[in-house]
Order: sequence, then C-alpha cells, then structure tokens
Amino acid sequence: MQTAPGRIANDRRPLPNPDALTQPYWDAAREGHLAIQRCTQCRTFHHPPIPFCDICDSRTLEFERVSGRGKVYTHTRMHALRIPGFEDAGAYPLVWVELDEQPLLTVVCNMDGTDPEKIRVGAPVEVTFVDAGEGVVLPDFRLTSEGA
Amino acid sequence: MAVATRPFGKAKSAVMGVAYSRITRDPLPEGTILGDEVVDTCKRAIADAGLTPADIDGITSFAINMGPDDANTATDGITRASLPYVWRRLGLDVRWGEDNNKFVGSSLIEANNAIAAGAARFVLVWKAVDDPRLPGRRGNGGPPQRPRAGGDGQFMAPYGAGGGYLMHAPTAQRYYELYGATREHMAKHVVRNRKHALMNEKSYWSINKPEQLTVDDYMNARPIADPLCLYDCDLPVRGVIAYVLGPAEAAQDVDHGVAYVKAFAQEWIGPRGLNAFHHAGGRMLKPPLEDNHDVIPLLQRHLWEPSGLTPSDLSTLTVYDGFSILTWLWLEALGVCGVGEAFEYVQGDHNEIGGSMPLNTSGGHLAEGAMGGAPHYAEAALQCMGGAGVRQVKDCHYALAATDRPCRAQVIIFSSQPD
Repeated sequence: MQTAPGRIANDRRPLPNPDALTQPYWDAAREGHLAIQRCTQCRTFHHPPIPFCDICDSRTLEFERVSGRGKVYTHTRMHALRIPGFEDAGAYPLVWVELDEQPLLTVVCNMDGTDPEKIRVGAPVEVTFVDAGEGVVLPDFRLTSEGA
Repeated sequence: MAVATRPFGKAKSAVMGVAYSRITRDPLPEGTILGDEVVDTCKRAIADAGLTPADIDGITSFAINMGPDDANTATDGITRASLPYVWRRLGLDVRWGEDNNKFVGSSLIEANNAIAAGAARFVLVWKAVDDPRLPGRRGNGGPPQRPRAGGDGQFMAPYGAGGGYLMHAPTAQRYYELYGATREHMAKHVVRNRKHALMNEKSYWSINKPEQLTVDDYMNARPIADPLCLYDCDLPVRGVIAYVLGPAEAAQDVDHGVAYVKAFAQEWIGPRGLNAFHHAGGRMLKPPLEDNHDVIPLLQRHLWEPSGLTPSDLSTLTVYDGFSILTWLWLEALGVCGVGEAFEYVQGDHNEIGGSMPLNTSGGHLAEGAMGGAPHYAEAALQCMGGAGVRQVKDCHYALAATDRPCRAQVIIFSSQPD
C-alpha cells in the first residue's frame, strides 16, 4: 500500500463508520484499491452507495474495482471554518475528482501534499491511500506524472 | 417523458398584503420571544390586505428555523413559530393548513393552489428566522464532535468537508474556471447589490449599518471557501416576513396594488437522476453545476411555455442569493442569459434600478438578510403592488422571484394585472 505523508493528515479527523451498504468501499481501500458501487443491470456507477439504482430501479448492485484515475472536477480551499477535526488545519484543499469510468461520478478528497496552484479543473489525477489510523485507510488522489 | 402542460390562464390568486418585522442581528429584547414578532408581523400583513384575522381560513409556512433547529434545540414560539402556534395565538378558524419543508416560495405556491381549489379563501403565509449562527442563540454550540461519521457523511467528514458553503464554493470554482469568470466580476455584482440594499429601508444594512461596500472591500474580504469570501455568503439575521393571499376577484377590492400569481414552477430532480440535494442531506458529494443547467428545459416546459411569457417580458427579477454564485446560475437557468454568460451579463448598468432589467432590487439574502428566501418573494410582490418606494421599477408589470438552487427550484412570476 502507498501512503502519502500529507500535511493535513492528523489523528483527529473523523473516521468513517461503515454500514452494510458502504463496508465494501472501505474494505477495498484497506486492500489498496478503489471500488465503486455499480448497478448490475444498467451498469451505472453510484457514489455514495445507494440501496437501489436511481436510474433503472434495480436492487442488484455490486462493488467493482475501478482504475483510480480521473480528473479534477472542481475544488476549493477551506479557510479556518471550524470543521470538526480540522480546527487547527489552517487552509486546506478539498477536491472533487471525476472518475474516468463515468461522467459526474465524483469522489471527495484532499489531494494532500499537492501544490495548491496545480489543482485546476481538468487536471489528471490518480488514487493514493492514506493510513488514517485505527485500521482505516482513506482514498486520496495526487496529480499523475503528466499532470504534475 | 414530456407531458403537455396546461397554460396558466387568468391568475387565480394575488398577494394582497405584505409585512416585515425589523431585520436585525441583535437578540430579542428581554421578555419577548420570536413568536411575538411572528404574530405582530402576521397581524400587520392581514391589515395591509384590508382584512381581519377572522377572514383568514388558510395558513402555510416553512416553519422550521435555519440550521440546527431540531428536536434537541427547538422550542415552539422561541426558535420557531409552528402552524398551530400562530393559528392559536391569532385565534384563527383555519380549514386548510400546510407545513412544508422547502423555501417560502413553495408555501406561496401551495397557498395559490389552495385558493384555486377552493380549499381556503384568504391564506396567511409567513417565514420567521432567528438565525442559529448568530451569537447567543439556542443550539449555537456547533455540531457535536463525532469521531466517526456514518451515512453519506463518511465520504466527506474524514476529508474535512462540511458547512453550507460546500454546496456552492466548488460549484463556483468550476464555473469560474470553465467560463473565465473572476472575483472582479463578482465584485461588481455584490457591490451593486449592496447599493440596492441601501435603497431598501427594511434591509439589515439600511437599518443597522448604512455603509456602501466597495470593490476594494470585496477583493480584500476574509476568504471563506475559495472562491467565496465573506461578502459572497448570506447575512445571518433575525426577521419575519408575512404575506396574505386571496382570490383574484377579491384582490380587486384592496385599496392598494396587489401582485397576481401569474405563473409558477417547482423542480426537484434533474434528468441525470437524483441530484445533489438527495445525497448527504444537502452536503455536497456532487457539486451541481450541471444539474443547474439541466433544469433549463424543465423550466422552459413548466414555467415559460404555459405562462406565454419569455424572460424579456419581465420588468424586474429577484433571484436567490444565499451565496452570490446562485444568482448567476439562476440567470442562466431562467434563460435571462446563456449558459456561462451570467458573469458578463451582470457587468452592465441594465441590472441597476432604473435599468432595463433591475436585478435583486432589495439586496436579497446577501444584504437585506437571510430569511429562507422570503425577501425575494416579498420584493417581487411589492414591485407589482407599487409598494417598493424609492426602489420602485417604473411600470412594473411582471416581476419574477426564484429561490433555492435552480436544480430544486421554486419560481413565481407575479403580475400587477389580473391578465
């Protein structure tokens, strides 16, 4: 597993509390890959996971390993906003990554450790994984070599 | 999927009376409660309509307050004024009531529909806010610190993604980068908005701090979540706005102008399926720039075609600005300008009072005060009623108000004439 020693990584950030619907996502992250829920009927990816497909109404959805590659869809920098666990983080980036598998299939991350000036809409990125402690691994993203 | 939409035809109802409480950020005076302000404001709206409480037989509101007004913090009459609370204190004989969970635009549309259906004759609508973000308010302890985040929040909270601006900062950033907009473009819009608020004797800035914002003030303002700064965010206040609607034929007896409900629309989901609102309780796993553009054909079919109007028929418009970017998205969703053009559209003088398309003449949420969309409908109605004072748009015939994000829209077009 790759771990990114990011600047904002801290031991106070909230950790996920998985349930039956989301457990496979976190299990996959712990094993070092990104898996996204997908409808077995119409093949639409869904994130966050949902109990039924809101496109075709199928109840049969499975997690599928994805490439972990995508593009910056949009981003912001959060300025001292008293967000739980991030009170002392200073300004930090939030990035929405649009995965290559499907338009508007977005995952939120920090792109921790990336030069903020290089985080631009459309920049190519790839998944990385952060050990958040207590056995939790968080997917994050970084610029690909051609985007860096 | 397209269903033929019936034309709206002649207006069924009209706004006959409007009243405001004082808009302020101060706590209530010792010994008074929010419920007192609600009751007082409702009484004045009823009187403005030329009626008495005995005439009111319908009530509707988006009664919950803003923010953490839940079962743990809410007290009827103190943090909110519920339908039964207002009903009881005004001694009404109500045969139709509806508490709804969208902005007050939905309450006004429901009131129109109840009148059209004969379920009620004169309907009282109100919105009361004592913003829990203000100091000393009940429930203002901030969200509880949770070491674990469940539900959709488990994909957000570990990354520090939280707060209302997350619906809008990333949407704005994508808009800015795709279309070439800058904070300088927004500065012009926000500065004009403050100017309008200072022409509005009811606005927070007029009453409490009559200072014109400058472009420099805007450019140097405290950053919140890029590209949004302090002045891109709505202004937390305490305030109440009340309206009375009645049947169109009865409205003709009022001794001042009225605002006929000409056309309206509500949108819930975009063609891509469930949109951002339905995920993460409004938190943003999917910043909805595209959803806001997807709504354009829906509004065409549900609002413009059955109304027989086009945007150029409007005398003025007052569109939502809980965050400044939303006004731009609304201008595009309504077809007032093209997709990706709003940031240039708002640079001209035509959006000033006295221009060809005065925009947000009251100052809206950014500068009149954040009251759940209530100021937008009140201002559009007042423009049609001829009651907008020094802000009055000359020969105002059609005034449009719209609230919330376009992808979960409420829109009403008011008319000064029954048409």
